[in-house]
Amino acid sequence: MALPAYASPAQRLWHYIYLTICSLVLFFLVMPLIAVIPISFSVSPFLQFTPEMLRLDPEAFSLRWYRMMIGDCSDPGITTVCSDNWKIGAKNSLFIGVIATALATTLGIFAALGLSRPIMPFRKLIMAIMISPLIVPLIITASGMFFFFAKLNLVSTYTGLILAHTILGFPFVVITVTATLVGFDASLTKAAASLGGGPVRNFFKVQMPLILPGVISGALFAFITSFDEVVIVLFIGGPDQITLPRQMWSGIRQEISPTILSVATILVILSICLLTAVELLRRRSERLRGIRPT
Amino acid sequence: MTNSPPVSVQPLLTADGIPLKTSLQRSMRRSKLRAICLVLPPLIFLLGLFIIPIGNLLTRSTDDTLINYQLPLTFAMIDQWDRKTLPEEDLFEAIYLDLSSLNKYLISDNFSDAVDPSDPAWRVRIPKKGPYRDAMIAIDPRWQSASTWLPIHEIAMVGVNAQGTERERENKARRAQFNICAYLTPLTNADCTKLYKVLQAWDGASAPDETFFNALYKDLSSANKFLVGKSSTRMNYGKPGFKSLIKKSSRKLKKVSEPPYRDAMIKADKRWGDVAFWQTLVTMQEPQTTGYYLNAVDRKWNKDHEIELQPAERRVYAMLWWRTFLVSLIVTVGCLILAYPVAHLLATLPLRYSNILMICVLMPFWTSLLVRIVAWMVMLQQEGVINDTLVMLGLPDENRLPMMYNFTGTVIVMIQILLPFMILPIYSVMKTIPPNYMKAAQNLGATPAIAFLRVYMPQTLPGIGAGVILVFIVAIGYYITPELVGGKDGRLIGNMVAYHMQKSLNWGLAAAMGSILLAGILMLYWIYDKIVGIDNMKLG
Repeated sequence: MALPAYASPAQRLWHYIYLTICSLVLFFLVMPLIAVIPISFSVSPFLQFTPEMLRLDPEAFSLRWYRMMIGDCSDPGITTVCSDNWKIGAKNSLFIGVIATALATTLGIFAALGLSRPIMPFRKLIMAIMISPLIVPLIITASGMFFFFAKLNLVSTYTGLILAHTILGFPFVVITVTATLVGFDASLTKAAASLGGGPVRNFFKVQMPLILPGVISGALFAFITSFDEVVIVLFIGGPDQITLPRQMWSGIRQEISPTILSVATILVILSICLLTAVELLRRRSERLRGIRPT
Repeated sequence: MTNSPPVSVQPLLTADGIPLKTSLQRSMRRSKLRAICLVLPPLIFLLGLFIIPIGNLLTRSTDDTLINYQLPLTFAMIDQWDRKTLPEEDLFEAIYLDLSSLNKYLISDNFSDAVDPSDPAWRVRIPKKGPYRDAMIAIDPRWQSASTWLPIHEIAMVGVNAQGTERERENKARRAQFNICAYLTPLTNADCTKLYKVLQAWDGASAPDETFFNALYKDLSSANKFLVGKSSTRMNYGKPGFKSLIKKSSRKLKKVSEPPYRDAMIKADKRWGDVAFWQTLVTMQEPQTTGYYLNAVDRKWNKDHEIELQPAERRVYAMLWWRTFLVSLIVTVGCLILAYPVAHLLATLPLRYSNILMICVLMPFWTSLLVRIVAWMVMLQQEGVINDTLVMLGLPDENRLPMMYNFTGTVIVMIQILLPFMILPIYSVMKTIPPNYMKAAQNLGATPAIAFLRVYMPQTLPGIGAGVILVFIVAIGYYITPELVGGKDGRLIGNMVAYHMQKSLNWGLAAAMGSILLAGILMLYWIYDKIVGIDNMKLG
């Protein structure tokens, strides 16, 4: 938005104030995440920019916290706890996340296909129920699941965690897939059916490729939800179920060391990759459905 | 107008001769059925593992069966008491028996409205050192037949016959021990190890001998100890000091075995002579209670069944509700103020610039919540980036600002975390407003400020409404952020729910607070649905 040539000085001044405010807000949004990255390469065990770092002294930087993160405890200068927990946590989080995402995606596609059909009794109520895991505060979900899963003997099991994370991720898939189905041209499936395709084959050959971007971005949301979830793990996970967020949680609560910043750095980079992926998918989806980018 | 031609009474037919109406109805029905079939599996999954657990949690908020289970005789007799003077011997006897005797577990219909206080079974004394068999059969003769023991035996055999690794078998055995106790005394969490051992060797037919009753006595005793502990905690919610009263007097009353109990109990702890404790018991008589809800807003029932304020030192929750509301409000307003200009900028910039700026908005949105909290800790702590910068700019070193583990910290971090939730809905509305409207308004003589206020802003209201409600809903249920950066005066109601779930184990109160919170959120959600419609919820 450029200023017109006829703008008065007051307008000009206002315009620059406005731009300054906007950049400050954007700075406020991103700055903490950016600040973490250099500190994670620091030699010092304190979570701050040391004077040496500000002077860009190469001696002040190291990869020691990254080595600790992957469980390499050979560094003699380290006094904080060093264990394999980060590695175990990452593995568990991936394991739980992948399975929960697969389940959530499958169930979510079913739900979205059903809800997008022209005739669907109680559509509004069902949609509200499907979205409800997003609305109910996590602490209430976790408390409810704690009692219920205890009865089913699912507390402290991977099955319990996977089921819980499936429920949390499920609404995202429903929302994104329903959104792609809104612009879906129903005559395509009718054409496929008239050409002799069965419902299953039609789904995989005609519908699926078109809703795929929605499915993938929903799955990404579901995965990131599971990958970032800590409250449920704290409530229904046992001591064996160390996940990445849980390890971060105890790291923050007990002794906060730069190792946690190296993990944070990696996760920030991961989030940038995911963000790019979702953005590309969105554009692809719009192109496939014939919506011009706006 | 002329008369219309007579309408054909012949129904329209499809190619295969079926009336069109029937055929259409059939195809509609089939389509409906297909839709239901698609929705059903996820719906059942969600109902079974999400809606029912939450409903189950909510029922806990009024559930008061535990105390009724512990004190069946007392509550059956307390109605006859005048509630003003100190109770007579019969009520003392009842509470003595309820707390110390095992008879209530042995009588088949012990916990119901049909408790008959005059039944001699309540007063059969089981000798402490045995033999137990005769006394227990005198309480309820069904214990002498093998068929009464069979279901317990079955539960035990599940553990005995367990397959798998040693650890799995051990777990199954422990589970079976727990289940035996749960069968005999549904509201306890005890493990019936003795019975498990005895029943292992039983053939399932021979008459139960003294070893059975010995095990039953020992296991029920430990279950009762557990239940007394739990129910005295419950009594303590009604009146502080009750737990210690029960604990102290039950230790001393072990020596007492003969009536009269009244003087002996008052001698054991003189608080038994205080009418206030008895009056508190009256408030717990119903198996459903609203007491937890009242407690969650700093109120309680008094003896005359009126609502009154908690004593001043126990009033904490009203303040917490207020703080939660205040934090959510500040965060919402803060987000709105920060989000509005940014959303406007994003909506009016050419696409290639706004896309880059959009990344700044979406990146925090996609980054792990805990990572963002860690990042803020680095920024806000005493030796953190912000304070270091301020010191470098001339702030005296000893005046470093306390920005973490307090109210300020919670608000700052929550605003940053929730800001994208505000920017995105406002942005998507602003995107649809043609820029010509502002120009037209100015052409017609409005100053830019008036054009903005009267032309542009009203059109962004739907986006503002959506963002405000969304941020408020998310903020009001926050738990992680206040827990990690809130310190003492940044705690919100979500943290209190977690505290009562995990530390104090006052689950009724946790459930009551959760229910109130949930009710508030559902109301806001309903408003959100009216304004935006949940179908229009978009992500990314």
